[in-house]
Amino acid sequence: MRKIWSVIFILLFLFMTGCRTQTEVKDKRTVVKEEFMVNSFKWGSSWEKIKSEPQMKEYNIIRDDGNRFVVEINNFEYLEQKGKLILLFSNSESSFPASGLIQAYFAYDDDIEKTLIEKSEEVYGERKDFFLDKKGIENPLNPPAWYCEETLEKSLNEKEKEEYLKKYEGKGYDETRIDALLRGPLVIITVDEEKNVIRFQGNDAAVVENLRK
Amino acid sequence: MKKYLAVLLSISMLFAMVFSVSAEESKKTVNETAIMSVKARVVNDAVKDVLIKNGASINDDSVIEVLKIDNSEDTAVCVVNYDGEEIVQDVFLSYTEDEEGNMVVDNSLAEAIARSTDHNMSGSHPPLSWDGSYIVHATATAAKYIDTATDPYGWMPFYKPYKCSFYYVNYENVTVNSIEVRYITSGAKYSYPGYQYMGSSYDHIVVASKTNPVAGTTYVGYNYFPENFVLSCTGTEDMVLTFINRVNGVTDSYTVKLINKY
Repeated sequence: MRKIWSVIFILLFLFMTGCRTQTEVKDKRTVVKEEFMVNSFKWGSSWEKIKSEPQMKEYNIIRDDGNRFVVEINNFEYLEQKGKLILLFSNSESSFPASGLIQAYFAYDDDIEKTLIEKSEEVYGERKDFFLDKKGIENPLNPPAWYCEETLEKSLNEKEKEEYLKKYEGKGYDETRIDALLRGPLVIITVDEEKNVIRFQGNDAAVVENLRK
Repeated sequence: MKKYLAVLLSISMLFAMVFSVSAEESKKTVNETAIMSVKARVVNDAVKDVLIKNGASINDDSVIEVLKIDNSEDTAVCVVNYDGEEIVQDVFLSYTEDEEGNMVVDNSLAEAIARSTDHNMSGSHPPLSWDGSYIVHATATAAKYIDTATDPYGWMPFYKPYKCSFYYVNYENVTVNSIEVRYITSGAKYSYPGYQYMGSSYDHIVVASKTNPVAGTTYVGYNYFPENFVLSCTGTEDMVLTFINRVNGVTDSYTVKLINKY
């Protein structure tokens, strides 16, 4: 009898361990690949979570107005080049359509632009002036950009899509506009060569992360 | 040959203004509500030089406004300076001679002010890879503002969308019955000029449309933005172009997100 109870307890222990491990694995999943994140920060993360990271030593808060929170970090390294990182958060819990980290900018000096673009192309390939949607149709990108393969319509399951579309109920969005929102890549990266800025738009990735919290 | 006749009127309080141009013996009423209002520091120097040469006093804190005249599309330019509790407004009305020798209002200065801070974004539909018989090219224009006091680099710009235009190219001689392009902006409301979050969102739509449009001709629509607030558009849903094209009797509707909205 004692042996049976021992076996039951061991099995229960293994089961509980397995559940926790699975939960930990689930928490580590991200909606986009690492190269479409900034310093491995999950889109949709709060500033409170990010600011304790090692690279976040010298920062200034540029804006905190109850809707947007903007912080700049000096001496940030991106693709082995030094520059300034600006993180933009939508910092209200009821922010529409996503809260947390939604965009980032990497501002660099003009003399490293060529190197930055070359290194970016090694990671992402050539910038494209279109992306393919779920139906395989080319959707123009202007200006040309790097973008991740994941889109809202590919990433969201039926339940998540339903929850996402509820945000737009009563706002008067027509079907073609909702379709446009679902169609786009979760992360788009553009280079503004006039302003010496690389812009990461992770708004849609933040939407997915928020829906999965 | 253009002639500029600048009428300078300084007032100390904000009233509706009525003035006369002696050469034309006509009266114009300038609407006190600005259709566009920008800080002088974001207006380009060429525009400011014209105003200064005609007697305006401009510093970085001055506000330059475009005001409508009567119920027409004509405009006047107003330079506003704040001196303690006193508000000083200098109003400029430009005239030019038309082909028949008549003196008409010259709106080029107001247009130059709008252009100096304009942010243009473009979209096209349908892509040539889809159809190939025609394509509509549209441009969405918003006045862009930076809260230079707190964000001099403009990481979080603000916008007042106000103009939409399109033209189309006909590759296969299709019959284009009508085109309508809607420039739709949704954003968070911030007060202007203070840039304080107002706790709500706002939608603004500018429409350009034409029945039986001519290929290659640009058609423009305006819907000027309210005076006292701007939009922050850092979300995902915020700026789109919706095309409603009727070609060979068939209507096609499609929306394009404006990704390069910064």
